[in-house]
Amino acid sequence: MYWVLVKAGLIRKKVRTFFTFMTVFIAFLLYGLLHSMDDLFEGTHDMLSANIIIVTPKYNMMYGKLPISLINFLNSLEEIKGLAWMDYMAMDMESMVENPVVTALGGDFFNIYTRFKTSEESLEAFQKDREAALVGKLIAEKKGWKIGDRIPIKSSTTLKEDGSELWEFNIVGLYETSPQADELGVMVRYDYLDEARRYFKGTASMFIADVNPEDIPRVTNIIDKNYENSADATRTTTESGMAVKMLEDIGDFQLIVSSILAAVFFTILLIAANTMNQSVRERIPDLAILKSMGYKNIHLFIMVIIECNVLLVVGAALGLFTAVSLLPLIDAASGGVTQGMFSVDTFQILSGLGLGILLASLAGFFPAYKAYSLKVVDALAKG
Amino acid sequence: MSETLVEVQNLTKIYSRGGEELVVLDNLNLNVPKEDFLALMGPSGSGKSTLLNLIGGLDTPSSGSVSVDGERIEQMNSNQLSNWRASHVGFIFQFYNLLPVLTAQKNVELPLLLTKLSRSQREEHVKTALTIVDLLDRSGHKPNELSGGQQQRVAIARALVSDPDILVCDEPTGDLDRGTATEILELLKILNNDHGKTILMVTHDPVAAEFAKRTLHLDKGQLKD
Repeated sequence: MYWVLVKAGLIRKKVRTFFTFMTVFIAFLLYGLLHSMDDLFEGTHDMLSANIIIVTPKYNMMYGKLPISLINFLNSLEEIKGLAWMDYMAMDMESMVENPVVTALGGDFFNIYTRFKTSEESLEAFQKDREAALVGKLIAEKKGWKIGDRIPIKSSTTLKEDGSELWEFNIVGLYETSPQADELGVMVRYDYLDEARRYFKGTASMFIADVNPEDIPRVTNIIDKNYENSADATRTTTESGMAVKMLEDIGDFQLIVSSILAAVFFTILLIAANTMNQSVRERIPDLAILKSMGYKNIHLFIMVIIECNVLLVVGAALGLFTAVSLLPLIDAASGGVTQGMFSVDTFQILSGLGLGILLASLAGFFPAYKAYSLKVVDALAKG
Repeated sequence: MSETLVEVQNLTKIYSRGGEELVVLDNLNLNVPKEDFLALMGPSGSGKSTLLNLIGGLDTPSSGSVSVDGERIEQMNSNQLSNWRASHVGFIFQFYNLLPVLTAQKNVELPLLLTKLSRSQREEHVKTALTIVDLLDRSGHKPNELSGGQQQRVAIARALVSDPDILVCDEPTGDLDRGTATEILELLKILNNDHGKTILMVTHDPVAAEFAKRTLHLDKGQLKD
């Protein structure tokens, strides 16, 4: 019974229905795409390890340094099963455009960070050559690099001992990882970088330790307590915690996303409510006729609510479906850089649909009540 | 034509407008036998449409009773009245009020969507109703593809399709030219004579009233004849 009436209501003004539908579609497409980054903001992405802690400078996580002597203290903690440290070759903006991110590694990096994979031969070659470099598969493809090449890296801020900006490394192997964005880097040896650079000798940007998950709260507490009042205060956190903290240093992304979505959905609510209100107002004589035929108040109430739900929930479903379908295309368009970084799970889809139903019910309530309480005699007299 | 179908007793309808009370029907009594074709005439504001609405169960009286085929409809609540209207009354209005996006067939089918009839049964009923109004060949047309007279025929088919006891017609020819109006009135006459429908018709048009079996005049809420 309802479908005939709902369909009649929706196609009565096709252009208006189409534009309202598209508004809802775009809103939920945005919802889907923005929520696909939730895992990154919340630090719950699969790529973030649960058994790794990271020690960074407490007050300047992005650019600060810690003394390399921290290794001794960390190695003294029996809960730490493996340790690596790293530093970055700092670059100015101009250099960053031209050059990949260069990370100097020390310690047991590949055993701790198992999502980074390279061959045994490459690792052996890396240990043998002080100027060795392992390059990400993606950057190698982009730059056309291959094993055996000697690559120049220019850094105007990490100068060599002699003051020159030009560094050269020998590619001894490639590494792969997921997400592929991490394959845009070059890994070199920490001992060589530290010895060859002019400034910041004996320091590293971060220390990475392999710890059993159950020991993590205690170990992080021990480390940070130990350096609490020193000039090199530390911030020890899990990898996911660090990812969240780094994003927070730039801005509260979740608040921004939530604010955008709240504004979008509030607008949708007003648009849908206005559309339905207008639609019901235009159909008052029709609704009165239906009542005269024997349609009850509740029939018309339900009809308007269903109509609003079809408009919003179908728009929401298509928007979410398109968002999910677009993610692989975004990955493809990025050349794999964003691979695995964005995802929409079932819960997010169901939440989106639930939001659609809630909005439809809110937007449809007053028009539906108007239809419900319509007095046939008055409506016909006006019509 | 002796058995009473509609019995109106001491019917009063008072509207309150801006703090003032307006007596539209004043202690009115009326009996309508089965298979009657009654025309109600009178000046604007005399209470014709109000009386029709009360007999058709679209409105409730301030006092008095309306009994249709033994059922006291003024005592029914909103849902009971809806059910009663669905099975006992067919309405025909001046402006047809067809749903513009639905075909004639779908418009006629609307009252049947409330019933438990199967799709094929509904289609059979619709076909019968459209045959009676001689519009079967136009069943796939939308209202804007039909003339005014044809639209009113569709509205009559819609009123007929659930086989009601009474047809309540409020100015059914008010929007039609004389020729088309005559066709519609002839059709109503056939429905009354051949199909046994009791018809209550409000009209301003004395020519239209001549098609009825009898005519009553209302003035200031009271019957004059």
